[in-house]
Amino acid sequence: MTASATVVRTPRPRSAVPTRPRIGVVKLASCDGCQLTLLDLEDELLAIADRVDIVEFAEATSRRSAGPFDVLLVEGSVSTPDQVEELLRLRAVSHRLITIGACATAGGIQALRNWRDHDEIRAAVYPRPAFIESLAQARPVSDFVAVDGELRGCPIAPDQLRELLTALLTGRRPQLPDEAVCLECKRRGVVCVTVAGSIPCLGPVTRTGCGAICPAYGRGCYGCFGPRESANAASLAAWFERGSPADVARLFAGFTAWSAPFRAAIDTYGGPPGAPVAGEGSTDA
Amino acid sequence: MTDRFLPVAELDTLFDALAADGRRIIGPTVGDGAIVYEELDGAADLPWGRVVESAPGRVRLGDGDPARAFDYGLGVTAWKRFTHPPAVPGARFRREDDSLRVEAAAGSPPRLAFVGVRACEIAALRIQERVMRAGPLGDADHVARRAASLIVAVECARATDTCFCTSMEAGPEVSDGADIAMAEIAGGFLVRSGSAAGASIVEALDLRPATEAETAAAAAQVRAVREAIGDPVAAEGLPDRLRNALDSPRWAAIADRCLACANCTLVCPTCFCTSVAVASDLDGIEGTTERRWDSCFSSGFARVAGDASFRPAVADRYRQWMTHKFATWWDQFGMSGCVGCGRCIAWCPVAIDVREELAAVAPIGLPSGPPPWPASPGSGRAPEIGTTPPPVRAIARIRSFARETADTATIGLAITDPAILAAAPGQFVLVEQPAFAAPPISISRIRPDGLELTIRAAGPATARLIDLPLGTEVAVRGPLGRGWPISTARGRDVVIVAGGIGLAPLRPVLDSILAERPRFGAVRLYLGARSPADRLFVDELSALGGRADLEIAEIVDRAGGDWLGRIGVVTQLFDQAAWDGSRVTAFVCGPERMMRATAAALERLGVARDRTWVTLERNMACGVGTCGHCQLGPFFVCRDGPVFSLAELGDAFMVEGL
Amino acid sequence: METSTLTSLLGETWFGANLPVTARARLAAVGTVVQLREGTVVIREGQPCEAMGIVLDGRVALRLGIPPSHPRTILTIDRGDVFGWSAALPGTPASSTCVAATPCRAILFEAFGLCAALEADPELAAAVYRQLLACVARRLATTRLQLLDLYGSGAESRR
Repeated sequence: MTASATVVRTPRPRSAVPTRPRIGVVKLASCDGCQLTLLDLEDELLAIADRVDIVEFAEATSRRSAGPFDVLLVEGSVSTPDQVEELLRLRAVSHRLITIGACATAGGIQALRNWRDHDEIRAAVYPRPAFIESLAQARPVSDFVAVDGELRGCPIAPDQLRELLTALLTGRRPQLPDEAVCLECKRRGVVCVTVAGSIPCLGPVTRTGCGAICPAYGRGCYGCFGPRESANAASLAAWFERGSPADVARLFAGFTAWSAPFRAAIDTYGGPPGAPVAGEGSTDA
Repeated sequence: MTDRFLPVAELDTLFDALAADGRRIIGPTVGDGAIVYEELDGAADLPWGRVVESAPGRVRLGDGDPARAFDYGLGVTAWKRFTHPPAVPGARFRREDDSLRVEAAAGSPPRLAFVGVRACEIAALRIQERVMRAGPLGDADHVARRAASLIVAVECARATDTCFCTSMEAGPEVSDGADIAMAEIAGGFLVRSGSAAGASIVEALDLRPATEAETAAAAAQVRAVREAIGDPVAAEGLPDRLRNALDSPRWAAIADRCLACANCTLVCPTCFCTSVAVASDLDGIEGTTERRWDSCFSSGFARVAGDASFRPAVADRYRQWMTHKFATWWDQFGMSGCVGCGRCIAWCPVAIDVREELAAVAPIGLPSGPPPWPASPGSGRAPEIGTTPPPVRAIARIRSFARETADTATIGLAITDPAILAAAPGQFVLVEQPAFAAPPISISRIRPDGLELTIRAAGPATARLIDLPLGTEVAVRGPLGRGWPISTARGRDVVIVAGGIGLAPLRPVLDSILAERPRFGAVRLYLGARSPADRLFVDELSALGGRADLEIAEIVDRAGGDWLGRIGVVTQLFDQAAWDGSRVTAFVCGPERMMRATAAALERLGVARDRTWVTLERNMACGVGTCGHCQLGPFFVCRDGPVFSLAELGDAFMVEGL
Repeated sequence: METSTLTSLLGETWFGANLPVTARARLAAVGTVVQLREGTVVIREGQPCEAMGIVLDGRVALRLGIPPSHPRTILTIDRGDVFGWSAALPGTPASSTCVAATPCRAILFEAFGLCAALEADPELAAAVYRQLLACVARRLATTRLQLLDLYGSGAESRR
């Protein structure tokens, strides 16, 4: 062939994230622990602050912004009608919305109330429940708005947050593996607590990212990063059942209980501890 | 050499001799309620009097004879932790203005002595060595680590309930492969050296020869182990039985139980699959890579851009694992991938027993059909070390840029390295830059002083590559893979069928043919694209349109009213053609589904299956067949392909989830 | 035109070449060769299909109306291929509008005469319907591949 490649540079758009992105950090129903992970990135915090504008971060700065945001990190579950409204507004002013932590990604520990009668639990918690505006269920952000990415965990892992921010700034895809905790456990050389100690462990069905902390300290994973891809919770639950059947639902009823695979296992084994009737209230509101 | 006898009380003299040889000693010890292989200070750290009771999904330490140190069975993770570590640093990339500096991680591995290696584990080390040393140079890290390690084997005196080395012909007797082989008998150890390195250490111990009674005791001991294990897996014809069981309903049944947690693969002493993780500073100026253990049980393992996975279902992944271990390993390496250590059984959290599953998936006596793909050479498809030229890494400067479509561009790279310039049509390169994974890119033109790469922005790394300013440097590794066998088409008619960006790796084919046009018969080029705006090399092809010795036809899937050309799919261009298929050699590239339709149409026209060449897309990562990602049945697509004939592929081209 | 000429023209198309010799001649007897100027609408979508055609030269576009947009060409057919196959199924309206995308030469089989010939001659019918089914199957396969949008985003990553 004779034709040589044309050396013409047509103008092309740069990556979607601007060189100095506006970042917001907001919370819904949560404990603030995940937001604090950002402050825990001590070594990099200044460097990060140098490259982004953190325009909304109530936990750390008095600067406030209603948006728009290039990247919005959302912590917490959606538990009140006001939060739904606020979330819809935030979505509209955010280029990328990223949920952080078990509450935002799976409903959090407070989603255990989803199995209980709403009025009853309100009455049990608050002296004047009539003043409490809350939704019947605590639910993940993705039930209400489109989510562009998520950081799992209770709380989120500093390494993953660092990777997310670095990836955003460099324009690459964040490396947030969706595989089982077991891979990290084995890479670390941790002896399997289930096989060697009959300790029930959710590691095989839970997404990695924590560094396999719990098994490394000789206890079972309690699933705070939520289900991995292809989580076969039913098979693991059936295996646990051979040990102590009564505990199966309790094992899954943790920080990510409301995630679909774990919820199904909980329902199959009689609902979370203290739930009135097996499975009641677990259908989508 | 005759066996020697080392009294148990003098075991530390062996440790001392190994230390005097400049080695750290790795051996079994008790940790976290199991036997782990860790650095030992002396014989006192050994698991004296401990035995492993293992059953499917259950491992416990029990008490045995306190005077014996090696009755434990097996450690949790295999010796590969030291020869093929869970994390190995790769390269460091640093951008300085336009230039790129690359430093490959270097450093000599520690000198180690592995004490207590079992027969099955020696077999496993040998298998991994065959895998990691296949190809041009072998994996440098693995080669160095193996060379720096010394194996002190201790023959099994006790079987566990998960052992099946006998069926895999990997034990329990330690025959060869150990530098020093020992057997633990009453009062001490029988010691025999198996290499010069081992001999010099044994000689330094100045041991008395073993008595006949001692030798006989050791032989009886291991014989008892063999009898205790029996022959739990019917290995006869197992590879063929499994190749014929790709459609077994059992895969789905296993998937109901299988957690796809990857534990079996990570404790397996032969599993070698890895992934590369990338780290960088916040600005992406400096990046590093690290190679980590991975597993065919994680969905990301077979994932390509767009989040599509070649093995979406757990049943696909279990089938991949089992058929690889017991069948396609033979295709690739001329040996089994299993040594029967039983770790995958013991450490499966839900007690899936591979011995049972093998019997269920591939029972003896099941009627067997034709093999799904042609037999491989007896020594396997993987090349022996040193038989192919090694790929190199070179710095390349981007010197030209041509936009092809909205998301695709051709970049020209100035390259001086003759090894890379020797690339053949159909080969590919890995293009490296700081902070990004290195995507495999097929070469779309080979020039005397550089390469052209036509890149579609399918993900961030490729998007960045076609967004780099002219003059920027990238690193290029290659040339990789096996290209198009153009010379076999001399004297024949040539049909080239391209779909979408599949035209890119075919452009060098056209270049080659046109460079010696008289040597070929009729040449026909059939092009399919999504829309008129998605066509590649438009000006170039229209310039060729006037040639009488080249027939070009194109068609698009969809178009607006201003398109006067054909609309439909690429097979329409030739499936009713009148040309003589028996004279044709075909080169085909495009999405796999399009290639299947094309292959079927060509076959109907009489084009021979061994003259129809396709190039496959898989998750190619290392490019040299050592990371496992791109496996397709008996092939590693990156090394054995990416160009294959239909005849070579057999059913591997059509089995979903393979 | 002489039937014998038409028979040989038919035999040069893949549709006709795959018909038994006798069937080819009998089919030719009910056909006429026409020249179509670019833009000629031969068949209209939704209308009774008044003729079936086989392209001898040029290209015919099959269009679907998608109001309020302009009709979209979803397929073009070249030498040897069939358009207006609905004409062989009495009572079936045309499934697309057939337009000559370039100047065309085609054999047209007027619907009434075609159906009458097929009804009168089971052997001819068997041969022609078999060929038509092959055509329609080919077209269905094409449509399925188009539906997959194989070259669309995410369909491939390498290269």
